[in-house]
Amino acid sequence: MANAQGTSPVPLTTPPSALFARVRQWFSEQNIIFLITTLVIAYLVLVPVGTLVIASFRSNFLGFGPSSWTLNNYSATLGASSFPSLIGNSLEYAGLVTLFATVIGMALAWLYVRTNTPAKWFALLASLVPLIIPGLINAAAWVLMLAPNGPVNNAANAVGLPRIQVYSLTGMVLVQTLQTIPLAFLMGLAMMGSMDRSLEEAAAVSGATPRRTLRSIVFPLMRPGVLGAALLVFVLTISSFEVPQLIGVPAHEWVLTTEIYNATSQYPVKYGTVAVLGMVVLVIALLGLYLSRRLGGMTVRETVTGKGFRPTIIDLGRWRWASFGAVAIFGLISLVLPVCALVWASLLPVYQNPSGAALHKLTLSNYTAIFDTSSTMNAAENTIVIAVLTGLITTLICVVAAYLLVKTRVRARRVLEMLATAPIALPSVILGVSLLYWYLAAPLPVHLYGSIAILVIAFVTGALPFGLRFIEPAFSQISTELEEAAANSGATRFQVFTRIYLPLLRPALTAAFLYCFIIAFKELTSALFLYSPKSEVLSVSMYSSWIAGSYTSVCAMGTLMVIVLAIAVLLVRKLGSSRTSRTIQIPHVAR
Amino acid sequence: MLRSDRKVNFAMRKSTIRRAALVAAGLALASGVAACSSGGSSPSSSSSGSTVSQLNGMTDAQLYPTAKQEGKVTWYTSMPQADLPKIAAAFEKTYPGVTLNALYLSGQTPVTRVETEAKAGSVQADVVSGSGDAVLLDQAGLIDSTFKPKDAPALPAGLSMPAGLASDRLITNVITYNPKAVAAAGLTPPTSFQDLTSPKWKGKFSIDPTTADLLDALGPAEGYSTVLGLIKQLGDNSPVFVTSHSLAASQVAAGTVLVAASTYGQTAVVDAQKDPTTTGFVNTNPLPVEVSEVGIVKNDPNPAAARLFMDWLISKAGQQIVVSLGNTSVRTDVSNNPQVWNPAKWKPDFENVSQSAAVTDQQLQEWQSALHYSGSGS
Repeated sequence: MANAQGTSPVPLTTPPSALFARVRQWFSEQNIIFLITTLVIAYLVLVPVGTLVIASFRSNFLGFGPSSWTLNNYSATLGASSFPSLIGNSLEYAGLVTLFATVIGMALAWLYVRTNTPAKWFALLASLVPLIIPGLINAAAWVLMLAPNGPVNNAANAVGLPRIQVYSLTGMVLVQTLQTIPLAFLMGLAMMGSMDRSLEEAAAVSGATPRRTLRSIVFPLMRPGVLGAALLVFVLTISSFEVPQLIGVPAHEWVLTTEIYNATSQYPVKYGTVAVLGMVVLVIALLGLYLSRRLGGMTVRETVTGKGFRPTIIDLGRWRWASFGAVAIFGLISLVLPVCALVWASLLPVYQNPSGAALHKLTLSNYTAIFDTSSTMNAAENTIVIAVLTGLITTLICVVAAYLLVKTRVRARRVLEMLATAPIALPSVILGVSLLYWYLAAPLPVHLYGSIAILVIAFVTGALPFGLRFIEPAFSQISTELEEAAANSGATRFQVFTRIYLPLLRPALTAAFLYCFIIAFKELTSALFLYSPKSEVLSVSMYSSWIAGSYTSVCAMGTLMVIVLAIAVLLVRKLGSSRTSRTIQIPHVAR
Repeated sequence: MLRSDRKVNFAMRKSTIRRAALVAAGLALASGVAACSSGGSSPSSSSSGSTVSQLNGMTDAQLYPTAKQEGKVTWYTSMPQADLPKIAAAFEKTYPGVTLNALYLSGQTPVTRVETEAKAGSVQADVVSGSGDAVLLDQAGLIDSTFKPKDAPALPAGLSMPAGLASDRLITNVITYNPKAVAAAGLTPPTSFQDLTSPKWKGKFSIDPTTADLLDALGPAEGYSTVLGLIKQLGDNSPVFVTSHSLAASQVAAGTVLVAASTYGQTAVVDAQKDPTTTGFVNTNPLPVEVSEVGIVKNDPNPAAARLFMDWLISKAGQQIVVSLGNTSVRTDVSNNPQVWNPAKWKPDFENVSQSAAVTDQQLQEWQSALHYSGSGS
């Protein structure tokens, strides 16, 4: 609009058309998708945390009587005389596991990547297979092997070694270390496989001795990655449940997670105590995640997207056979013994140590019983449905989130990334308890408690960071030129997404789906809080059978589960062997 | 990776079909989740529309058609898991068309689960049984006390039970040991709880800290403080904690623990018959006995089937099945296993069935404190 003199007007306020344009721009297709995705992920992540926080400040959460705001839950729980020992036990357990798993995992990774150790593929196999063995099954196998007169202790005794008491802190640390070594090993592989050898060569040319090169070049380069791996092992261990429950509780070795489970198992349920202990685990895990990201996160990412390096192979000379021995012993302890114990126990009507006499009692009755028991078959059906839904939904959410993170310039996209990766610090026990509380307390129109939907919600939340880690790097590798070319040809954003990106991302999407499927398939801890007779899953069936003393049935179910998951992993690795091969290993490092 | 524009344009022609397929897939996924969520809802009355009071007035023959319409009954129980398929088979044979969905739950889990379900407004259990479980639920107002079970057996003298409940079995607590492993350790099997307070058994026996069964059963007859003193001595001898009696028995048989201080008599007798070299047991005198009670959950989803099952479970026919699995019945018209139940030889000390939830909770706290169980403020 011009004034009477024809000069340009000075607008005192934004013209309605400009305001409308700005509002319209804000409500663009991209921003709406971003908003919806962020809201969905925020709901999944913030609801459990928020519920836990509220529960920790309520006097009678979920009670039938009146309830008010209070700090009593904190003062009663944190002020209990046994609380310092509970924290001490938890930190000692997690600290020792972190130390041993990181040292052994990194050493094995070094032998694998940087040396000419013979048959080192065995180390890779021995690291990958335990990843698909559910924690409950691994712990159960070790409980049987380390019985006072069990095969391992008998063998140790025969060669003059002391017997190991499985129900002890030593037993807990041993079994959990074996479960977490693969995590450290795979992170070590990712880190060492991409270290630039030119730095070491430069040091050698400059006259540095191998020891000095190690001290001045290799160790400083590795330090962030090692610390990052160690902190992830720590976070994983402080929030672990199976080993502390099966081995720690009998030994009077209480940690935070078992105390939470104990408080939910007794009548009346101590909701306030559960929530406060959950907050303690959450704070420790968040701190660990923060430090992990600060110290190691960037290193991990750089190893994914940076250019590839062929690491120098060190000739160990005659020591190569010693390193082969180390790898073989690791493989024996980590893979061969647990799997053999599992299969052996699954073939017996009543568990007994391996012997010639026991060979005559071998039977497939435990396997046939699985297929003859309707509740177990129902649990298997639920497990498959839940795992498939978890894989599909997680992949769907992650592909949209990754697109927004990588291919757009939405201002708040870092908030989305933070929300989607935060569940790494959300232990399963917290997820289970808080979702149970939320769906019991929230005035929602639909009852989700007792349905498989609540399990899917829990598993999707837990799987989000892993799905994103598969898909985000794969998105980064696709040039934006393709999108621009399609746009110039008149394609809509939806067409670009479905016609350009999805076909190119298919291997990564399939791998993400299968990995989330595996996570959901073997998840126990959160399921223990959320299942009902209708929605029971196999991991819960196995735990119930264990509590009922049916060792051999548990092992038969575990063997079948491992076979199914092994097939899934083979598919993942086959798909990952193409263009996304470098992204496959990274999600392994986180759980 | 690069494609020509022509290929892109060609692909665009199919975009409508692809979009429709994607939308259909999304809808299918959403409907799948919605269908899953509907699993949580539960009816509060019989599928025939009969009210609870009408059902209470029916005979079992009259209940059966309605129960068949409901199709199933869900039972939360602490009865050994191995027994459940056999009980289900016997019940389903008697009442074809009504499926028994039996869920084994240890410790106080049946109580916490039913309470949680009631709070969620999504009760899934129809029938609950276990030592003290139904009584606790009754005191929380979660048991249908209007139901009068038919042919309910009389309780032993001096015991009483709240309305709506009946005994489905007696639970004897015995000491179980592994003869082979005990001998290998150079020990002789224990014959009493006092034996296990000896230093030679330190760390070599297990106890279930989640139920105060020994204290509950022996306390009233032998003196509460005396028994608590014994438990403290056991607790000071570093027992291995095992969170279910059935698991404790299996651990003994597998040799992971030499002796279990609290296991079920019926489990021990069955295990000892299977392999006497790995399981032996001792009935102490006096013998701690719990009374397992059974009741129907208020607002349960299958009220007719629940009544039919509870009536059958406590009937002579049902109890004969229960006893055939090694359990002990309170009924006098069925024959119990003399290896487990012989009041003339082992004086039974019964728990107080109808004590208040507050007293039960206090006893559990004292039991766990004596055993040095628990890690924090719970």
